[in-house]
Amino acid sequence: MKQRLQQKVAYGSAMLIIAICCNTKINAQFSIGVSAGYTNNYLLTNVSNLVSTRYNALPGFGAAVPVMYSVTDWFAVKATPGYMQKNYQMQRTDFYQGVYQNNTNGYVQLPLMAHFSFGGEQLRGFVDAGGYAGYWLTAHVKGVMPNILNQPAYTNLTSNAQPNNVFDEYTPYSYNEKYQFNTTKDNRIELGLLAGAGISYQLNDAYQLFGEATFYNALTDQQKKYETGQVPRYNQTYVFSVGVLFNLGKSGYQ
Amino acid sequence: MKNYFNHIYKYRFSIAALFFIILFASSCHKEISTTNQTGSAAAGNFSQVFEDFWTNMNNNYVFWSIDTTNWDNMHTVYAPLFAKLNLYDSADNEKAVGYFKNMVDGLSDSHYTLFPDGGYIQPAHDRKLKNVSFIENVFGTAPFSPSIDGHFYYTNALDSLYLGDKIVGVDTTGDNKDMYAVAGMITGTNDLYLSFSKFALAAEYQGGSAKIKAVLDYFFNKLNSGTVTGLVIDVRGNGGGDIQDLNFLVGSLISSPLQFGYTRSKSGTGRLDYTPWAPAIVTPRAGATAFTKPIVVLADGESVSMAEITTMALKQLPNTKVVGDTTWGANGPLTDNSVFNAGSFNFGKVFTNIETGNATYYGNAYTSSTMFKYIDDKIYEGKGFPPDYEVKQTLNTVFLRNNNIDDPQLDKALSLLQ
Repeated sequence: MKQRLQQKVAYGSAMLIIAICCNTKINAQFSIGVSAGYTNNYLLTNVSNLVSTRYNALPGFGAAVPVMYSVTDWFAVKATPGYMQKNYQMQRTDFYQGVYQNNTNGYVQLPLMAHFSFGGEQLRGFVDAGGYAGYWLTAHVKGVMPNILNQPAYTNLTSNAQPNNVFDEYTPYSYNEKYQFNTTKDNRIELGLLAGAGISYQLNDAYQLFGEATFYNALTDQQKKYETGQVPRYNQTYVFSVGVLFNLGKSGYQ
Repeated sequence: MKNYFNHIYKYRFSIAALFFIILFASSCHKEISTTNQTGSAAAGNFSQVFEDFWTNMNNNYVFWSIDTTNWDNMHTVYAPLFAKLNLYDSADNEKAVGYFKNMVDGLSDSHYTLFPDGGYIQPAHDRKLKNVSFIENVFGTAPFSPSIDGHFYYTNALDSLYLGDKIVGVDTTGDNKDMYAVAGMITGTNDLYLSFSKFALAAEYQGGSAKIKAVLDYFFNKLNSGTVTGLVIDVRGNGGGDIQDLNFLVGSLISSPLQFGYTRSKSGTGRLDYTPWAPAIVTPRAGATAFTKPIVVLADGESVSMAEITTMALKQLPNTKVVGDTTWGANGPLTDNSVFNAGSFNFGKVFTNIETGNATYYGNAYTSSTMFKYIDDKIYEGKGFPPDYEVKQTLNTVFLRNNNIDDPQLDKALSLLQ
């Protein structure tokens, strides 16, 4: 059912783009630029079976080189190849407060989208929709965990003190290291959909400033299918970016 | 055609909005499966008991990265078999125990013990019993068993043979009932000897048996006297115990922290979700001075868990040699499941007493919470830690014709201290 719907969306999108491109009253122009911004990623999964454990969103950054081919004054095809962090946190709560792991994940990805704009000559609004393919390039983990084989020094003193926290019983171990990818488990290819909205300001014939909020919704699991009953993990990323586009030339014709 | 595109232009925002709606309608993910917290799944039949066991093993077992058991295949094979069983039929329960035994038979975890209803399954022990040179097989027909804790030949009978000045302690009550400890000087030498049947030294020292404490006081007094020229720590037949004994005993022989390996546990539900490796460190006792004279650790196939960890920690000292036989191979420390969301678990909650709130489970799995890797980057779980000098014990070399006994492993240790 979902696959058929996606096929219909893809077909409809293609027809729309072809139809627009076939319009004889086009005013095509090609732009290239740079953009950078703030990312906020959440790992969509289920950890309800883990005691006092939750996942939190974490911020990061992204940078891209947007390339836009304007077909009409209101429609363009846009690609924003670039790098994006999709970070998240595993956090223990209650008695285990203080145990956490921050996962810093770097993706290179190629988003391709339809770009619809509206408004005046200089200040315009726009919405984007499309899909993306990404590659999980780097991963880093930083956190604190109990260290079962690093007990406090033995003393002859006995104590009736109640432990208030796991670190009253275990020595904390702080780590900050590169994550070693596991070829059996880690799915480093990510495919997904995106949608965004923003505003642009035409500085002059050559330069256009823009700000945009985009939502990237991964449709592929962060893990390969390597076990029965696997609980999937999907990245969901909000990106707030600003950038500039340089108009490389206008090729209007009728 | 022109009219058509004008039409598109006129409704371009509606088209864009529709595009978005379709986009997000199609972007919903497949359903994210859920699992119950360990010990919370109610079970009314064998299918549910099996699923709870299989899932808890999948999520809580820490050795999947080195294990050769195909756990997915176990689900494929045994789910339909358990579905045919009746939880309240005694014959079916016997069949179930057999199925569980087959499922866990090849697990690496050598602590692993499964207690299904009315059953007891310890795969590592079952595997070892198939080996004719396994110490229990070798001494199963021993003419007598002088050990006070019923294990093997090397305890109090040997004490008289090798030790001159000595002190023996046995805890006759409490949690460590029958725990045995002996310390003494090897006759005719200045070599100090310590043996004990389980790792509960710190607990005994702080509030346990006065007799065990006396043994330990003797040991530490001799150790700190400056007259000892060599040390034998005998953990043969020692089944392990409390982790704090590492700092209590090994921590009294070092003056600076000693890293000897790493541990890691689970970081998530997935079978291969692991935490980073955390360093395994022995912390010296306050005021301890490093013992730089030769140390020999005696270990064998019945040296388990903390006995192996202690052996490996001492082996990291430059003045230590290990004599005896390869250890049992159960190196992964255990703790409460909730600490790492890994390790031992109950499965198949078949009944809850509404007055007491106590739950009755079909079974329990006793398994490590963490995986241990030695400082040489090797994992000895399921294999055992090998000695520097292997000395196999046999009935003929231990029980001599003239009703005397000998200890070839201790003989080798003493030769190394010369």
